[in-house]
Amino acid sequence: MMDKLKLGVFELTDCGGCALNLLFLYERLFDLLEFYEIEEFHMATSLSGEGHYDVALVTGTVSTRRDLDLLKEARNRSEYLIALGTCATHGSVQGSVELPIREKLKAVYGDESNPMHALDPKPVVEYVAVDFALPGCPYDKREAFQALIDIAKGIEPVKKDYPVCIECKLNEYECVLVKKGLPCLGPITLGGCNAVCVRSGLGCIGCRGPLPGEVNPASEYEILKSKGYDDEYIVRKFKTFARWEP
Amino acid sequence: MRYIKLPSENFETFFNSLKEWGKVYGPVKKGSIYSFQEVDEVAELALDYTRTILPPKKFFVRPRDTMFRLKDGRWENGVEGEKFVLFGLHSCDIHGLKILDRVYLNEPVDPYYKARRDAALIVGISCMPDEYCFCKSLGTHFAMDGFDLFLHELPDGWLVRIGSVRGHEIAWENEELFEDVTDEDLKHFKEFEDRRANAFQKEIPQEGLADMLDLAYNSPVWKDYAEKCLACGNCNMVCPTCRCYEVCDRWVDAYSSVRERRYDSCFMESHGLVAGGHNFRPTRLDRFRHRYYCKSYFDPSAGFNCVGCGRCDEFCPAGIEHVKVLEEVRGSLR
Amino acid sequence: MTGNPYQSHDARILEVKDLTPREKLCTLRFLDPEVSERFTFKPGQFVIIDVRGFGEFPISLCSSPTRKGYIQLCIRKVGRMTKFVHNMKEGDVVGIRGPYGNGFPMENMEGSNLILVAGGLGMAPLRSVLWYALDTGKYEHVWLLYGTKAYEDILFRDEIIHLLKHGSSMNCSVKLAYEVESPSCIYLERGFSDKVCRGVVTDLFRGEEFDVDNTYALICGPPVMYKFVIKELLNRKLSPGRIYMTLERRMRCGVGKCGHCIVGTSTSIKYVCKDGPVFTYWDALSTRGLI
Repeated sequence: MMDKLKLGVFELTDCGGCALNLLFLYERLFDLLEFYEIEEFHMATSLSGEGHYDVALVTGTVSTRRDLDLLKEARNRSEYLIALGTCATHGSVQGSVELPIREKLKAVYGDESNPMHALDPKPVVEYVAVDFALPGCPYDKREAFQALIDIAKGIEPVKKDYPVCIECKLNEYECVLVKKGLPCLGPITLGGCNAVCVRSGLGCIGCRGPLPGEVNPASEYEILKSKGYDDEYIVRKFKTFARWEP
Repeated sequence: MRYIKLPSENFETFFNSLKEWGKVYGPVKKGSIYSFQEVDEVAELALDYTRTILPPKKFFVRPRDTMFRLKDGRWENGVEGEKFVLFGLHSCDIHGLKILDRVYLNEPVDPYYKARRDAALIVGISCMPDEYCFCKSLGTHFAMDGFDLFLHELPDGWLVRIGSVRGHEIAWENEELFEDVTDEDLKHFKEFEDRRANAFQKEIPQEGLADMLDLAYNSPVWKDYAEKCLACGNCNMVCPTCRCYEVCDRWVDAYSSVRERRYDSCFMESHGLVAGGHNFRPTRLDRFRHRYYCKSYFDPSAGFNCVGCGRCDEFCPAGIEHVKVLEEVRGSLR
Repeated sequence: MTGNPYQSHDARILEVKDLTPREKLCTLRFLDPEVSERFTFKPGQFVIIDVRGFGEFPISLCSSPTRKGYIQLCIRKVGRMTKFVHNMKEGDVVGIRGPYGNGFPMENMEGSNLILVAGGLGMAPLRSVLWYALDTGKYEHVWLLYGTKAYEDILFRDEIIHLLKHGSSMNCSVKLAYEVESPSCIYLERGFSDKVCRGVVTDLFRGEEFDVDNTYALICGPPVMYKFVIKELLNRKLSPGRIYMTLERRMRCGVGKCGHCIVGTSTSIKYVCKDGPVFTYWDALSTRGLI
C-alpha cells in the first residue's frame, strides 16, 4: 500500500462555504480518502506544527495579516497548492471593492485604526504561486474531486477553458440572455459550473471570473446596454467577483 | 416515392402506434424554446415548432457521450442501440443528419453513431419558415431521403411520403389508418408548398459562394464581426452540422473512470492549440473565419456544410446573422 | 478487430531511453501477437497513445516499418499527458490505436533522391523515413539535413554520428546545423567540417547539388521552419508536388471525426489526421492555413 498523501485545507477570510463544500462530496470523500489523509482542516493548530503537506487547498482572500502568514505557511509547507474558490482565485466580492483599506475602515467604523491588521482583500494568487486555480462561488465540487484524484494519480488536473454557455447548451437550457433579456455573463465567464444559475432561470453572475484569453467584455457590454441596462449596473455586474483584468 | 394519406382523426392512433417501435421523441415547448423530448401523448407535441435549441444530432452524438468505461484497466464499450422514434423532424434537420452521416459513417465507422442511427425511426414533418430560416436557398428545404416517413400538412390530415422499407412496413402494419391520396390532396399539398416557398425572408445565393468567400479571406468584414463576436460557442453547440468534440477521461470513483466526449466549439482558444503552446488559430478573427469557412465549404458531391436552419442566428447573443456575414464578406469583394 | 476504432490495444513498454533532457524514446510491443502482426504502417503515420483513465494524445511513429516486432515513439515532455508518460517505466502497459494518417508515399518515390529536412522534434517522423530508405535501399541518394538548437537537443545522436561517419557507404549524407555553440558541437564541427556547421537548417543546402527531376524533399519541423526551407527548395526549382511536409495539429480522434485538425476554407477543407499529416507544397498552396 502506497503512503497516503497528506492533505491540508486552509481557510483565509471567506464565508466558509468553500471548505464546507468539500464535505458535501459525501461518499466521494471516501474515494479521496483512498489516496489522502486529511492533516489539517482547521487552521488554528497547524501554524506552530512541523507538518508537510503534499496538497494544500486554500480558500478565501488574504484580508488580514494573519491570512497572509497562514498562506505563506501553507505555501512553504506544501508541494502542490490549489487556490480553491473565487475568493482565492479572483478576490471575489470583498476583493472587488476598490477602496484603500483605511478608507474602508473609516467608512464602516468611522475610525481609521486597524486593530485586526486588515489588508486590502486580495486573492491568494496575488501573493503566492499556485499550482492550480479552481474558481467558483462556491467551486464545483465534482471539479475539485477530479483535480484531487488526478493529482493523487500523478497527473496534472485539466483546466477548464470554455465559457458557461458551452455547458448551458450541452444541457439545452433556455438562453436567458437571448430569450428573456436577463443580464447573463455566461458568454464571458469561465465555465465548469454546469450552468446551474441558468438552470434555475437566472442569468450567470460571473462567479467563476472572466474566461481567460481573448475574452470579449466590450461586446458583452454592448449587448447588455442594448437590452436596456445602464452603465453603472453593467460595470457593477462585471466587477462583482473579479476585477476585470483578464 | 410512395404517397398515402393520414386523415386528422387517425393522427393520434398513428402516433400512439409508433410507441411499439420504441420511445418516441418529438418537439416540445419549454418556456420560449423548443426541444426534442420524450413524448407520451400527442397533446405534448408542439407540431408547429420553429426549431429546437439542440438539433436532433443530440440523439446520435450526445452532448455528453460516454464512450468507454474503465474496468480492470481495460475499456469497455458503451455502444448501445435501443430503438427509438424521432418524430417531427424538419427537412433541414434531416439534411443535417445526412451531413453528419458523411462524417460519422465514413470509414472507420463511428460505432456509437451507427448503432443509434440504425435504431432510429425518423418521421419528418412539414414546416413554415420564420425570420431565421434560409434553407430554401441551400436546397435543404425539402428532403428526398433520410427519413422513414414524412408528414405534409393538409387541411384535413397529412400527406405521407414513405422514404424507406421500414417506413413502408410501419404504415403497412397500420394500414387501416391510411387512405389513398386524392387529386384534392395533391392540390392542397402543392398549395402548401407554394405558400411555404413564398414565406422565406432570408436567402443566401449559392452561386460562386465558396470561391468568393475564399477570395475574400482578407476582407475587413471578418474583422468587424470578430470584434462583435463573443466567441461563446453557442452557434457551434446548436448547429446541426457542427461535429467537433472534445474527449475527457473522468473519475467516477477512486478507481473507475469513464471516457466521455462532449460537443466542442472551434471558438475556444484551445481548439487549434497543440502541446508545446503553438496555436494554429490564435486570434478570435482566425476562429470566427474558420467557422464560416467550415460551414460554407462546398463539397462538390454533397453541397454545403450548412442547412439554413437558423439556429446560430436565433441563439447568438451578439445577434450576428450568418447570411448577413456571408453577404457582406462577399459584397466587400465588389 | 473489436469494431470500435476508438478502442486501443495493450502495448508493453519494452524500453525507455533518454534521448535529450526532454525527449524519451519509448519502444513498445503489442501484448497480443495477432495485433502486433496486423499492425503495419508507413513512415509518416502516427498513433494515438491511450493512458486509460487519463487521456490520449497523438504521436508520430519514429521507427521504420522495416524493423518489425516493435514500434518506437519519441515523446517530448510538453503537456499534461506527455509528462505523465515520461514517468512510466519499462514493463508498464499503455493503449495504442492506429496507425493513422496517410504517411509518405514511399513507393512512389522509389528510385529517386530523398532530401529529408528536419528541425527539432521533426526528426522523429523523418527517422522512420530515413531507416526505411536505408534498410530497403530502394532510393538513389538520401540527404538528411537536420537543424537543432544545441548538442544536447540532437535526437538519436548515436545514429546521427554513426551516419556522419559511415553514411556515404549507404548513399546517405547527413548534415547538421546547430544554433548554440558548445564544446561538443565545435568538436563535431572539427571532425566533420563539411557536414556540421553553426547556423540554421537552410544553411545545410549550401554546396549540395541534386537533380530536381529525380528528387523529393520531405520536411518536418516547427511551423516557422517550413517557409524558409520551401523557399530554398523552390529557388532550386523543385516542383511543389515533389515537396512533402508532415504537419502537426490538435487531434483527438485520429480518424476524421472530432474536427480539431480541420484546415482550409470554403474551397478546400481538409482533415490533417486523415487527409494528412503528409501534404505536398501544392496542397499548402491550394489550402489556406495549412502552413
